[in-house]
Amino acid sequence: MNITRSSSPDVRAIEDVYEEIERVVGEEGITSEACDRACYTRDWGPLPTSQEYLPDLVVRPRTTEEVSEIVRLANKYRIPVVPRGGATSMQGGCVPLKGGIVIDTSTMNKILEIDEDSRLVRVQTGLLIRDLNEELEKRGLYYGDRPASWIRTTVGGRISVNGGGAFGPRWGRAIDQVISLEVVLPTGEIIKTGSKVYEPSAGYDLTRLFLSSEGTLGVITEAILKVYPKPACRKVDMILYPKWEGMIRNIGRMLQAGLAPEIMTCHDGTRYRHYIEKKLLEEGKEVPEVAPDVGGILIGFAGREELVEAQRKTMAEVIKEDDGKLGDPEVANLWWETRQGMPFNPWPKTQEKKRFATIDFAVPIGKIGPVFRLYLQLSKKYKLEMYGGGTFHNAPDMFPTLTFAMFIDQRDQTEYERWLKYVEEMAHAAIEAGGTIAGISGVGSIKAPFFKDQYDGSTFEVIRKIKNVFDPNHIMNPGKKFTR
Amino acid sequence: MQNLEKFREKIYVCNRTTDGYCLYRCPEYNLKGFESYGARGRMYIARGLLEDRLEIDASLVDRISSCLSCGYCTQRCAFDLTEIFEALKWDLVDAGKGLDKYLQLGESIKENHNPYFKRQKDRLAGIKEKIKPTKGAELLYFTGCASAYQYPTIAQSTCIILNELGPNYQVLGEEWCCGFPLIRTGQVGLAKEIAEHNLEIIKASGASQMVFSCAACYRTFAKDYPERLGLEVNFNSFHITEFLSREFEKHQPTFKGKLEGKVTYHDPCHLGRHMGIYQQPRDLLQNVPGVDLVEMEENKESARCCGAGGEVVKFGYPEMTLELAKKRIEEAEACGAEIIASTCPFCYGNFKDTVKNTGAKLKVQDITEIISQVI
Repeated sequence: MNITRSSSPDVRAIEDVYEEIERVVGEEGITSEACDRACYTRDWGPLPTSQEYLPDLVVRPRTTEEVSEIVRLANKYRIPVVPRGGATSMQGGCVPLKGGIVIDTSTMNKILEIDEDSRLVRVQTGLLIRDLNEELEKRGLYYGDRPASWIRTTVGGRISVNGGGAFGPRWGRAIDQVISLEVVLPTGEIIKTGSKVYEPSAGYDLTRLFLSSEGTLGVITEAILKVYPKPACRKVDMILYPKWEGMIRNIGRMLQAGLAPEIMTCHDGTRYRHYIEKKLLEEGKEVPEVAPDVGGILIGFAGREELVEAQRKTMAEVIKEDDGKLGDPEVANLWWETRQGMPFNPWPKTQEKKRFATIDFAVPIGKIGPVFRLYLQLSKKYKLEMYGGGTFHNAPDMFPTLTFAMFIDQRDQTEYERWLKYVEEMAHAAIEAGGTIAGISGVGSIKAPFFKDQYDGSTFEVIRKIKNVFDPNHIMNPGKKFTR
Repeated sequence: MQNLEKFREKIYVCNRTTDGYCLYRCPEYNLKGFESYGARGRMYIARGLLEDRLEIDASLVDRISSCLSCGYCTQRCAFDLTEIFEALKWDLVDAGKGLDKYLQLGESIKENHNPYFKRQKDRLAGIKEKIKPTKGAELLYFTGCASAYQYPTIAQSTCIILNELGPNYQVLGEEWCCGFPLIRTGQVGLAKEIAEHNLEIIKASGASQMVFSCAACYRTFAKDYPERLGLEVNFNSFHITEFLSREFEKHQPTFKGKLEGKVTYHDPCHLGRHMGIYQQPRDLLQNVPGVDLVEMEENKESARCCGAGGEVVKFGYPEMTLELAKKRIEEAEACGAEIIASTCPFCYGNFKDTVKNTGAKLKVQDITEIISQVI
C-alpha cells in the first residue's frame, strides 16, 4: 500500500479499510498507487488543470455483493464513495471532490440474461452500450439508448444521469429503457426496485427515484432493460434551415404529418460547419461561412424500406414549409458514422489548443428560440468561442433537451471562470423559462450550486429528506447535486 | 521530461472530442482494468509528470513500460498515442528509471548486437545453406535478429522464395539489430548508434532496395530511422509481402504444390496499424493454390494484438503476453481456421509458444513458409 496523498480527512480510516476491501475484491481489484489514482481525478468535463481531486482508493468489484461489502465498510468508516462508469460525463459527476473510494464499475460488465421473447435483458451496469449492442445484434435486436459516446459509456452511467441520445424520437431517453434496478444502498443493503414488467401500478416507483440520482442515493449494480427488434433498413438525411427557430417549428410539422423518425439530432450553424469542415478540407475545397443561427438536422428513418422511403418523401415536402433543404447525402452519412465513434470527430483547425465544454438544459419547446439566442449573446458577453449548440428530441412528443458548448482552455483559469458565469446565467434562464438546469447529463458538481434554485423551499426540503433517508452519513458522491 | 514536453499541447487536449474511445478493445486495459493500463490513463500520468505532481516510482514505470505499442488506441484518436508513450519511455530511461528487463535487452544489443544474447558471428548460421547471394546486387535482404537467431525457418523460406523468383540479392551478415527493441523501450541513444552502423554498411553494399521478412525491422527502417532518429536513408524499404505482391503481379509464379486447409491471417501491429499494410499479405495467401482464407472477427485495423508487443513486452511481461495470445488463438479457432499465418517473427514465436502451452490444434506459419512450400 502506498498512500502518498489523501484528500480524505482520515488517512488511518483509509489504511484500515484498504485491507478489509482487499479481502473482498482481491489484490487485483484495489489500488492506492499514486499513478493509478491520478487517472481517476476527473471526467470529460473542463475542470481547470489547477483542480485535481485525487481519490484515496480505486476499487473494481465484480458483483453486487462485493459492492455491498465495500459500501458497508465505507459507511462504517464514513469514507466518501464515488461510483464511476465510463467517465464520459462533462458535469463532474464522477469526480471525487472529497477523495474517498472510487468504485470503477468496468469489471461489472456482464450480460446476465437475454430474454428474446420478452425483449428484455438483465445486465450489470458497468456494461458498455456498444458491447450490449454487439450481443443484441447477433439476435436481431438493439438497445434504444444511443449516446454519441456509446463506445465508452456504460449502462449505469446513462441511467444515473438520464441521458438522451440519437434514437430519442423513437425510443425515448435512457430511463425509458429501464424496467427495474438492483441497487446497493449507502448502508450496504441490496434492494430490487421492481420486476420484469415496465410501469407497474403497484407503486411507489422506486425505479424512477434512482434514475438521474447520479450516485447520490446508492450504487446501481444491475438493470433490467427493454430492447427492440433491429430495423431492416435505416436511412439518414441532413436538412438545413435558414433559421434555427424554423428548424424547431418544422419538427412540430413533422409530428403533425405523422412522421416517426428513429434518429434526430439538431445543431446550429456553428456545429454544422464543424461537421462539414473535415470533408471539404479533405476534398481541397473551401469551407463556407455558416451563420450561427442556421439550423441543421440529422434525421433517420428505420423499418421496412418502402415505409422508410415513403416517410422520406413526405419529409422532403414538409421541410419546405420552413424553407428547409436536404443537404449532401455523403455528409449526412459521414455525420451519422462519426456519431458511431469510429473515426474521431471533426474538429476545427482553429482550436487545436482547447477542448470543448458543454452544458445541457431543458425548456418547454416554445422557449427554445429565446434560450438559443441567449446562448449566442452570452458567448459574446463572456468572450467565449462557441463550439455550437444542439437539441435532442425524445418520444413520444419530441420533447427537446438542449446542449450548448464552448471552447475552453483548461489551463486558463480566467476563461474557466467566465465559462462558469455563463453556465450560471444559462441555468437561471432555463429555470425562468419553466425548465430545468440539467437536460441529458445530470447536475454533477458543475451545476450543483444551482440545483436548489429549481425548487421552492418545501419541495427542496423533501428532496433533502429523501437523500437523508437513504444516505444518513452522506457518503455517496458528495458535492454532486447538493453542494454540501 | 524533455521528450514528453514535445507533446505537451496534445496531452492537455486529450479527450477533446471523443472521451476514452482509446480504451475500447485496448488489450492491456481490458486485461488489467485500471485506467492507468490504458491510453486515457497514461495521458493523465503524462500530465502528472509534466506538472510535477507524480513521482516516478516502480508502479508508474510498470504502467508505462507494459504498453504494447500495438497502436489500437491510436486507431481511435486524433493523435499518435504510441509515439507519446514511447517518448515517455524514453524519458524514463533518461531519468535512470527504465524497466530492468528492457535495459537487459539493451545490454545484449550493446554487447552482442542482437537482443538474444547470441554471438554476432553466428548471425547467418541458420540460413547459410539456403542463401544464394550476389555481391553488389541492388536488392538487400535484411534478415533481422529474430529470423536469424530464433526462427530461422522464416529467413530460410524467404531465401527459398527469392531464389525461385530469381532477382539477384545480397545478405550481409555484419548488420546489427535494427534497433526496434531499443526504440520501443526508450533506449533511443543506443538505437541511433546501431542504426548509424547499419546505414553505413548498407551504403557500402551499394543496395538501393531493402526487403524485410520482419514487420518490426521494416517499421524501424522505413519509419523510425528517418522520423524518430532523424537519419538520412538512401534506399527504399519493402516488407516481404509488399515486395512479393509486386513481383507476383509482374510474373505470376508457377506453383508446384498445393496447400489444403483454412488459413486465417493475423495482422501484426507493426505492419498493419503502424504501417498500413493489410491487403498484400491477404492477396499473397489467396494466390496460393488450395488456400481457403477466412477472417477472424477482429481483423485489419481492429486486429487484436498477439500480446508480444514486438517481443520486448513478452520479455518484460511474459504472463500478460501469454494471456493475450490465448485470446487471439481462440479467435482463430472460432473462425474455423486450421492455420494461423502471420508475417512477423514475434507474432509467429508468440503463437508457437501459446499453441504449445495450451494444446490448441492450430498450425502456426509465417507467410514465407507457406509460399516456400508450394513455389
